[in-house]
Amino acid sequence: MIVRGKHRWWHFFTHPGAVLVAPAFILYTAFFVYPAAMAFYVSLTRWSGFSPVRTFIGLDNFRELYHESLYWRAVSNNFIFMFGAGAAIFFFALLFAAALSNRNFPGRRFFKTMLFAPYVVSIVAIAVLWTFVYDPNWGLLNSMLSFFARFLVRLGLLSPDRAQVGVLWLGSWGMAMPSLSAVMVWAGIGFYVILLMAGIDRIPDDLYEAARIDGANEKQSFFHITLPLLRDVLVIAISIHIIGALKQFGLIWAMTRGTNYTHTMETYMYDVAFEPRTMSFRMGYGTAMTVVLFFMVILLTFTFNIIMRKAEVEY
Amino acid sequence: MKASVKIFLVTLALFALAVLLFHDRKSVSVARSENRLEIYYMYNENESQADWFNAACDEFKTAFADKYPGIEIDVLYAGREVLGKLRPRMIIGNPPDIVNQGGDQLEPLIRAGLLEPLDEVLSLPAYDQDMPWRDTFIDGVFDIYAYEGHDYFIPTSLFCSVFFYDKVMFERLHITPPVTWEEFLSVCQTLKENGIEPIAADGTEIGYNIAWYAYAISRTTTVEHVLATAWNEPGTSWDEPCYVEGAEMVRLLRDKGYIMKGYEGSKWPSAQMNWVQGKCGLLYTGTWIPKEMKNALPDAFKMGIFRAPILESHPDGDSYAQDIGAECFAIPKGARHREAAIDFLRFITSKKQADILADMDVPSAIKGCRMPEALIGLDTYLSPPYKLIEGMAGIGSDLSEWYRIVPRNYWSDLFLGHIGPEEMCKEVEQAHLRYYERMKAIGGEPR
Repeated sequence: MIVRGKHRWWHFFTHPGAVLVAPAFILYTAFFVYPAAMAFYVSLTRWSGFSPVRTFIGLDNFRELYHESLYWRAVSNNFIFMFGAGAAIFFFALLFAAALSNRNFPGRRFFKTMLFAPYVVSIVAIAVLWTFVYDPNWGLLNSMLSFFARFLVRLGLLSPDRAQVGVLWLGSWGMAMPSLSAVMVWAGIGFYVILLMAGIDRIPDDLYEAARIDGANEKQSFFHITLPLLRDVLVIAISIHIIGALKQFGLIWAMTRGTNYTHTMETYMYDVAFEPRTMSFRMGYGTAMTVVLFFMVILLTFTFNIIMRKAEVEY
Repeated sequence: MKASVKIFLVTLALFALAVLLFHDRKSVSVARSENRLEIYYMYNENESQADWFNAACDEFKTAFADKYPGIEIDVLYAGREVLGKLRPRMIIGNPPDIVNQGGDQLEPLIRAGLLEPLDEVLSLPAYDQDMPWRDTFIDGVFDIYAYEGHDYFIPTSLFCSVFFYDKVMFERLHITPPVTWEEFLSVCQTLKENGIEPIAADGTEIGYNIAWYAYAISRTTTVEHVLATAWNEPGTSWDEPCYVEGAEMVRLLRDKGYIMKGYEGSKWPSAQMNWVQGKCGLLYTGTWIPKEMKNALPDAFKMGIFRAPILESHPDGDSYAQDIGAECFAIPKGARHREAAIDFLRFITSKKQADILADMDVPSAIKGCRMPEALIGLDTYLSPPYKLIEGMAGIGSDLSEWYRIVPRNYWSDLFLGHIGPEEMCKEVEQAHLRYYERMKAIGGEPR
């Protein structure tokens, strides 16, 4: 029997379960705790990543980061993905989850599969696919718009010189961020729909029946029963989205390789620390970016969880 | 001691034992071998250049059998990812004997003090010529990558930016390779009028996009002026007329429809495939093309080259500037077999090996060796009065951090038509000023 108050951290090692935990503990310490701790140290050094010698420079990397506009552009892009894409993802995910949770919804299985399919496709394949869709000259999107424009020209609603549409979907900050966000929504929504559907399925039917008897309509049931009781699932889903949005790399790299206007913190960090084409090789500076990212993830998920805890409801 | 603590410690010991037993012992044995020359090579094993390298390694072992009896050569075919694979070896202070990569990409290793200066070694006699080793290389090639007055690299094959064309197509259309910018535009117009898209380009390759503006400003002004501007010398700025005019040259190609349709989204190797298929007339890229496209060339295709045209309207510009890069070999500090490494490099840069490379359509850095048939004339551009400069209009990798932050994306966007000439120059100037202000604020050195 464990006596409260006499429990000390080193007692862990005398507990029989410690033996079972030991291999995982060792691996976790060697491959996560130690590198993470080292990252904090490396962020305080000037280091090319090749030499065994690291020069301690205190907080200089962080000071430089504070002054670098490209980095802040990358941070703002992460926030656009977090809030912009996030709002779209959760709006549509809730909508689809509510609709598909209705067992009488026609084609329920088909729509579930269709929504979830992009999630199981490799992110690089998705990126290649959407690069074709967004291509300014022969992409699907501009071709469709051109087709529509030609139709309007025939009707005399558009001047003939505007029949060929050449929107640069990934060519400027104003266009690239919404375009990339759209891909992110398309690729990620299936996961959240499934997650939310699982949450909705868990809500007892008698609550809806009671509400119906009391005269509540579908909309009222959704806002007063479904949404509040989905709170814990939403907290997890939104936390996952926050972390994913802040760590966004694969899609951006595969679609644009990161440019002045599409860099995220992660792609920018790679550009600075590893990319041979830029020949920068600033491991200390790049690591400082990951340290900032680490604190951002902690801070944002922690703050979000506190806010959501305050909004807790019980039935 | 409690039984559970004992079990915990035994588990730890078993885990440590398992790590010791099953870790990759090959790397340790390689590093410890006394008679094994270790080389990190930038090609993949299935590339033709690797065939040459393998054969050269075998020949070296035979030729130096007396000096290095039983020597083995261990080649890691890193496939352009040399630096990534080299990183852990350099960090633990156990480098291979030789590393090979494009010179610009190896420069960070010099800056980190990890490579041997080779100045003295270059005064050794050449392997198969009666002259010092240094004198066998084309003049000026060492200046490209010299760092603080020292040479760290042994160049082998050369990368020069030139225009490639099909001689058969040009003969059919009665086109002669242009020398001036006006002639170049006229060639583009003729090609266009004959239903051939003049310029092949893959807009998704940022380095290729930038090459156009880098070429333009190396003609509208001098390389020295470009460098002075990049180093923020007083009286210089990126919105000077010479830079705007350079940007207008690039923009003109797009506005006149001389660049292949859809180039903005085109991915390598579409452009060069369009070119060999005769859909496009010109390809502006590096001298690796003859080797790279060897197996894709149709029978009735005869490859030729001409230099990036001069700008008669700017006689004060650098008409003779020819950008050049080189695949280089270097010896890391602390290499275990330094002497064998030096002999190996002397051997593979011999005239005989350079001629073999030339037969494989690879231009060599060795003076007087054969030139690949497709690149005949290249040697003219590599000797005076032509001035060899590093890529990006001479900026090269000296200001790699500045280049990454300031002009890289803007210069590419100009070629892609995402930004206009004047706007681009203004944006670059603002980004440039922000960069130097930041350096001043943090007391950092531009790099």
